[in-house]
Amino acid sequence: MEKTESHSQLADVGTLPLGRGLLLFAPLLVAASISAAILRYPLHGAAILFPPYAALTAVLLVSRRRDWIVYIAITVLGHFAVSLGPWSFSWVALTAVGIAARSCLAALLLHALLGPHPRLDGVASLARFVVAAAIVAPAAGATIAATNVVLHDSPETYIASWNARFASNALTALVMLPVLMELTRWLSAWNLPRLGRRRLIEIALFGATLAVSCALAFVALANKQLDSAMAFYAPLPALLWAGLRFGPAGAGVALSTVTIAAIIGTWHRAAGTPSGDAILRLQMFLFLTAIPILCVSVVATALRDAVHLYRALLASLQDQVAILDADGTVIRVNESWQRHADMPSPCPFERARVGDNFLLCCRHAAEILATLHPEDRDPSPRRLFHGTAAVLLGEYQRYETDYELKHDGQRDWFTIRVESLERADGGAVVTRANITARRQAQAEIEEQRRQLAHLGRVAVLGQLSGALAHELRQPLAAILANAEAARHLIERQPVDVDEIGAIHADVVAEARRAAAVIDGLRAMHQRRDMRLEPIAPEDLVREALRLAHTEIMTRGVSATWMVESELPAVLADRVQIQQVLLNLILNSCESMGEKDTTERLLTLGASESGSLVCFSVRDSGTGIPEALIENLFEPFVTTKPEGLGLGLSIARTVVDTHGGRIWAQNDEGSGATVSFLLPSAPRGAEPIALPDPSYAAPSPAVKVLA
Amino acid sequence: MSISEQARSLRVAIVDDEPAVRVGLRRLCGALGVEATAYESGHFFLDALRDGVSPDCVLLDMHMPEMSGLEVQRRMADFTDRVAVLAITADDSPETSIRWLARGALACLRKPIGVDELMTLFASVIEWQTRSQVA
Repeated sequence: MEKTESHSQLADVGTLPLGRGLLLFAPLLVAASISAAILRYPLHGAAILFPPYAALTAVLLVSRRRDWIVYIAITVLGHFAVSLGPWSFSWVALTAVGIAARSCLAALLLHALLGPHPRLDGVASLARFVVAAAIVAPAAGATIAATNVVLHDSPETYIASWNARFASNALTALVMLPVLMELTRWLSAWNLPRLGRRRLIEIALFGATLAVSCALAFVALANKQLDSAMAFYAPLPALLWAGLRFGPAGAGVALSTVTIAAIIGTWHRAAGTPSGDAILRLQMFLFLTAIPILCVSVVATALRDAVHLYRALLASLQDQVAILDADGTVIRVNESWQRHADMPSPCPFERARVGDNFLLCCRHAAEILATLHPEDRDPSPRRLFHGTAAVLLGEYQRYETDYELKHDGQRDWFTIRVESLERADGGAVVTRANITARRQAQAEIEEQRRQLAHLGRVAVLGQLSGALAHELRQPLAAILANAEAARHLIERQPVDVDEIGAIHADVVAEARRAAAVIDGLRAMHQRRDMRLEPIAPEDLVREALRLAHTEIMTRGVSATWMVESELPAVLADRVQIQQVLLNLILNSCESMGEKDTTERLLTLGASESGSLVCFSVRDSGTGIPEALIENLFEPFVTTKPEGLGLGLSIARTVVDTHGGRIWAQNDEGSGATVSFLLPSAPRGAEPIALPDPSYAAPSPAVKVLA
Repeated sequence: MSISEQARSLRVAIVDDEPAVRVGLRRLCGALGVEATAYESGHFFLDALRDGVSPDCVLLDMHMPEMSGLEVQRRMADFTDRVAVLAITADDSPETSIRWLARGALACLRKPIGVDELMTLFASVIEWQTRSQVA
């Protein structure tokens, strides 16, 4: 397991083939060794800069680990070639061990801290880079080198030797490694940066400025015309330029140039080996200059990347975006906004361009609309004006509104959002999106649901028509019989006034009963508001059974009901819940058609279930096919060949609207039970009138499930 | 002798659980000069038959709780076959009337029932009685 992991890690780090690597990097490594010999002060063998460290580390970072030994060997051979003359073999060999160890350690640490492709792309990665390559690895290398010095009875002390090696390699890491890392990365991927003409001109100007400032400063330094501190600061403007405009690689090139110029200048000034104090001063200056310049370079690069990112984001958005400053002036718009602003639009705030004041545009729009349509004044520009002002003043974090735009006989809906901008100067971002399609889709769904609900009621009504006919024929029978009896009684002498009075009273009562039946019928299919009132569960069960009485008898079904005693009242719309219960009862009656009359059992129940009341309708029919039980309450799902499949979907809508839940299950043996929960009414609850959820748009008070 | 005069000699029983209909029909029969007795359920009517009451015909509601019209008709056979069954119903479906007629009801009529309907019913009872006497 561990082996596989290390393998995959190896594969991740660098994929450069050895042949191409050697072709590209062997000259680099050899050149670094030679320059190390040149940059060394003759007396102590320690360099102010040590290029092989940076070169080898940069090459190792882009190479396969199994090839590392080859590059290390080249560096060590180069080191031998330039060093064997003045020094003994063992001295050179131990120095080579130090060189290899330092670069390996730096490369491993950089991979561990910055990933397989280390880049300086932020202050955090720069800090890690400094710790790994400019502190830990140079310290380890310095320890080996200083031990070497002590072992070979050199005049240097251990501490002085350690300090000199550490300083030179730390400095090398800061001024040379960033640029060599970029260089090896470009070379290994063979992906050289493409530079435009303006960029090339800028680079040329920058190079000239850097060269002139370095030359002036360090010629003056060498000729002792300037104090060394004064001379060191002369190239600072050029270094800052590099940091701001050319990233870590450009900053590295500039720093390397200044460092080499400073070394040469210092050397000439001392006319031979400079004093330890002068070298230390030089190294301190370079070290303390390099870190801020590198910081500037990574921050400037990150900023440029962020700007590119946000511009690309703005350009890619379909929504229209405008950015406002603190007083409402448009300071930037995206392409989508610009396109919209170019189109003829009756709304001035839609035409706001960069430099226009968005608030004034809104007010202008409000004034125009007030004169154009005094009768149907559109309040949206005025609302938007106040909303935007509130966001700019910091009263709101965000303001959002929808508005309608009539244009060329077409109606479009937009949503516009003003969001406070979190920055020192304040301001806001205005986002506008066309939501016409979404609105239309919503309206269509709403309309379909509305039709469905009505269709469903009509379907239930059809099922009920038999029962309704029965309910009407009874009072009509009584009325007709009484009326005809009265006619005959009047013709007879003497007229029995008492009997005719009784007949008259009965006729009136029965006529009222017939009217009540029709009222009930109307209530069932009329579009009406939902009215929640506390109702005793027993009343609901009884009324439903009474309404279904004929159907139950005609079908030869035995109906029973069981309602727990002392049940709380439920908060429900009487007519709607009756409709649900009736529908369930009629379904049950139909499902038992194939059973023998003695086995047609219908049981209605109501029981307490926590804070809810559970109603159930149970039959001994054929049950519900398992395939249908999951989506039984979806529209157009039915077990009946002639059924529309709307009754249960409406039942679910009604129960959901009441804040309850409905479900069905097959019972053991035979038959099925449909149950639903309704919330119980708090004590002393008053009736509440709500807009009919199946006809009105969804409101927060009523949740509608389609 | 006209039908209405013949009808006055009929003794009619009315069985309907619906009080308004029951009272209305009894009044109508009374107004027509026909002797009518009303019963609110099949049980009471069957008890009366057991006690020796023998009407010429019975206006029998089909839909009643506890004991349906069909059940009443079936049990009536235990006491007499001389009572003509006139089924009345508030039900719309034609199948039920066919089923009744098949079981031997003399007529099956949908509510509401006025003088004309009642006289038609009585006429058929008289005709049935005449036929069975001849037979």
